[in-house]
Amino acid sequence: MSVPKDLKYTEEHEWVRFEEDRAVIGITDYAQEALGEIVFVELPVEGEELVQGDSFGAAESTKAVSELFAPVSGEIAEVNDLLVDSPELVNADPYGDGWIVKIHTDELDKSEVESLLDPSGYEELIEDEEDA
Amino acid sequence: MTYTPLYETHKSFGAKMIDFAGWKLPLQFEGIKREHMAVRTACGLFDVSHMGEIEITGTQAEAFCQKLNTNDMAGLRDGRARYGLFCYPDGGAIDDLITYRFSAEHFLVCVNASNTEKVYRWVGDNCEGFDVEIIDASSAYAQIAVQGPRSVSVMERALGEGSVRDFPRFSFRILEGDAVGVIAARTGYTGEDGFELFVPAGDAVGIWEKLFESGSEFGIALCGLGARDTLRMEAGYPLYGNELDEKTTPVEAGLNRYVKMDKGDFIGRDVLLEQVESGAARESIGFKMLDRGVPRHGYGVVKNGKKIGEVTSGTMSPVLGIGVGIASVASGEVKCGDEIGVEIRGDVRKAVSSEFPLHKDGMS
Repeated sequence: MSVPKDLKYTEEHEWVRFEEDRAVIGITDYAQEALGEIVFVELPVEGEELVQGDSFGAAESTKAVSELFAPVSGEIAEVNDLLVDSPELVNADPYGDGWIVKIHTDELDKSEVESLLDPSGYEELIEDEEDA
Repeated sequence: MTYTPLYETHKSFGAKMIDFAGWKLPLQFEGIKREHMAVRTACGLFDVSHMGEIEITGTQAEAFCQKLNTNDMAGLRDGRARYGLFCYPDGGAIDDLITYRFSAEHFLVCVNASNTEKVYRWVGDNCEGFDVEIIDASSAYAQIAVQGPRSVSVMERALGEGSVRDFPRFSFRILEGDAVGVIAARTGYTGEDGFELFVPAGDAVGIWEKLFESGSEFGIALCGLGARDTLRMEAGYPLYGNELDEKTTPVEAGLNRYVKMDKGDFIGRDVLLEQVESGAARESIGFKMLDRGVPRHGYGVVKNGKKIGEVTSGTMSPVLGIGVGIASVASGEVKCGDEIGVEIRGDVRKAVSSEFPLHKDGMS
């Protein structure tokens, strides 16, 4: 199970990569594996304002629906349109081509970033879930 | 947890296993979509050993089956199988099942895994006054399904030329030769041509391997419960627990053609007759999504802003690439081709009421 060191994570299995003025968001390798073949990704629209914890979409496999929650607050800058026709990219490359949205981070709240899990914290979380 | 005789074989082929009705079964092998398409275009191999088998024998077996089943068991010829339901006196479905008639004194009933014990008890509780013997033969049989347009080729290659010649749909026979003792039936749960094989449990691995090897040149795929579910949804077949339950009658689930009023009395007939004559409150429809979205069990169905029912089963159709589903709605509200709405995460998405099977082209 891949947990890249340069990302932040949420307890709902999203990852965040902070780039210049954007936060790139997707679901983790662990999450895509648990969901199975993803057949549909419900995407938000650009310009939508999200508050940390808001549901902004869903990743659906044949059997299950997993809601997506905003790791940080901000306006949606971009959505990954490739997922409309190729939702399976989330399975194939969860940290790369399978990214889901990008959020503007010009007014990023530092305390929200601090509330996210670092890679070791996320690894512990998935170990606990696997034991449960 | 119960394991099928094929459990180790599935593990060696990298199956992703799940718990289903107390059984460890493959959810998928290489992927649900790929397995689904293999069954629609070539052939798929399924382990459905979780299905229960109840044998009813005795001088009054026919009359007894006739009393329990909504469909006509007396009009059924030897060597033929028929879909039907067992119902409570109030019409609620105990299970939907296929009955195989060997003779007037010997029937085999194939039931859902989750209902095997319940059906076995029901059959036992109602046999007073009938000269019958009832056996739960579930553990004696593995069940293997070979499904898809190339099933005949696979069967002939595995079991010998002519082994499935003169084999009409819903007929069955006991095989000889290499597959001696196997009951082969031309039935299925996918909407494609195919066979379901009742295999003595000890022979399951050998038969499975033979079918898989023989099928390789015909594009056979190992399939799990995931594809079994998406295939049956596109075909419009009910799943007990979704379209049917103890509070739903066969008439409400759109299964009228399997309820025979002219065959004489059977358990549940009075209520079902009334529903057939004066209409049931609910009915079952198929639909295809016009907007993006995947319908799911329990989502609301609306028409002209009014809530009219619920989705009972839904999925992303691997064939069409759009959401499709089955819904239970208030009777008379929806005609085929009507636009309806499905409530997905607080949003109403457009869909169109459609005939089964849902995977054939055309928008109605």
